[in-house]
Amino acid sequence: MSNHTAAGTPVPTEAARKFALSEDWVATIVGLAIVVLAMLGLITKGMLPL
Amino acid sequence: MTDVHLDLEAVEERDPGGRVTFHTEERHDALAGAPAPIQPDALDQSVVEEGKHLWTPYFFGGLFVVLVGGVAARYLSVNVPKWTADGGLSGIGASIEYPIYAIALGLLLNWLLRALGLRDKLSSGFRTEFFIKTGLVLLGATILITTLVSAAPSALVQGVIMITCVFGFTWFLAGKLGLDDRLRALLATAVSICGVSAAIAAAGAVRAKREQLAYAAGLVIIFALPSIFILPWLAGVMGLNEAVTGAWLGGNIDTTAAVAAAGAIAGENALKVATIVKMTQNALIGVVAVLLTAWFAFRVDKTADKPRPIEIWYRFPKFVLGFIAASIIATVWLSGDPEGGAQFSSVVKTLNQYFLTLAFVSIGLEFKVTSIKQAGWRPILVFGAAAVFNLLLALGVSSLLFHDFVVAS
Repeated sequence: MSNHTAAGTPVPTEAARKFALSEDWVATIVGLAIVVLAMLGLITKGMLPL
Repeated sequence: MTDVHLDLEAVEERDPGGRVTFHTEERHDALAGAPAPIQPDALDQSVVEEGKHLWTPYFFGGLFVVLVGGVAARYLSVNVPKWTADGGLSGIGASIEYPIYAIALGLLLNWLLRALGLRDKLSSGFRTEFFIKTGLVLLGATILITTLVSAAPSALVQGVIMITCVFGFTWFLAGKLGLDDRLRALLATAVSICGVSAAIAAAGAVRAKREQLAYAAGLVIIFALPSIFILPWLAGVMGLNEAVTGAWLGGNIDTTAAVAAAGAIAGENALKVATIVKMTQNALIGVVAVLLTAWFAFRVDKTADKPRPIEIWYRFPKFVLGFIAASIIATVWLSGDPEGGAQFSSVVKTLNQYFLTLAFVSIGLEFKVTSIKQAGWRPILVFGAAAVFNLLLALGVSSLLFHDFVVAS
């Protein structure tokens, strides 16, 4: 973390946007990948212990 | 949507002991009605963190804690009904749904880690946003596209009514009580759209200050946590059907993770409708962000950047596209292979519950009240009044729009 600026600073929107975008897309890709793997039978009920 | 984590470059000052400090004058400007001196830890580290701190040992440590909590929650939700089946507690054991175990364990781990001085260090691994979004994409694969299409118009009408009325009410009341315009915008957006995610988008649009964002996010979590348990119970007391219950939960609980938790407690069909309604509301955040940017650019900050239409796409929650894609893929797959479809549905539902469980554990781990204590009573009054208004309006609108809606299975 940086140690040199103070509270009251506007939120840096570009940094927020970049991270929010990547987390959105990663969740989408992971979710869809799981759906496809389940469709292909590569993830089965027996592989899910709980 | 829980919507709880935001990774930004941190800007607070720290003393040699690593404690967070602020300047009193800036704090007064930031939070109207907050005359008290600024205390250490005023900035909620669970909300405002630094993105660069990912992929550190602390990140993996936090992730490990979430996984431990998730496995324990699943173990309890599967085995407690068995353990209590023959005794006098069989009714209670069978009625406790997995979100309750997950949130309770998250809160317990939160307390434990705080006592050990590790909670803030590990918080970068509490990825509520990622878990809930992945879980919702998987939930999309359990909802037929026909259900999605038939619910979407009502969900859109409800979303527009709720956002317009609740935003207007909150903005008006906050103005009457003399809150700073930026904090008004954050509170109004958070309570009318989707909690912390909306507050983040609004913070960028109106150039809000960090402590204002942390404060709005803190209020969202404080109000959302009891809603998860109280509203499904109230829906049962009022005898609402599953579709109206889902629309009510999705329409008035602020964070997406809390909507999913409450929906899961209320029932499978309630969860589906709640998710569709909430996602429709989430999808409108881009439009609101652009309108807010325009308002502040033309009316408040005359020198601010003017809004661009592309902002609507930037702000659009992309996982909604994954949710719709999963629904389409699963509908096509199930129509072509009904026998394999049962195995597929069972696997996807289980994995959906895994990710939602991890999200709910993260909610408990992230719960923090320190930023709320600093700001005085006026923002809390505004948010509380807006939450009650939201609750009642959503009940009326969802009863009107979803009373005869049937969830296809």
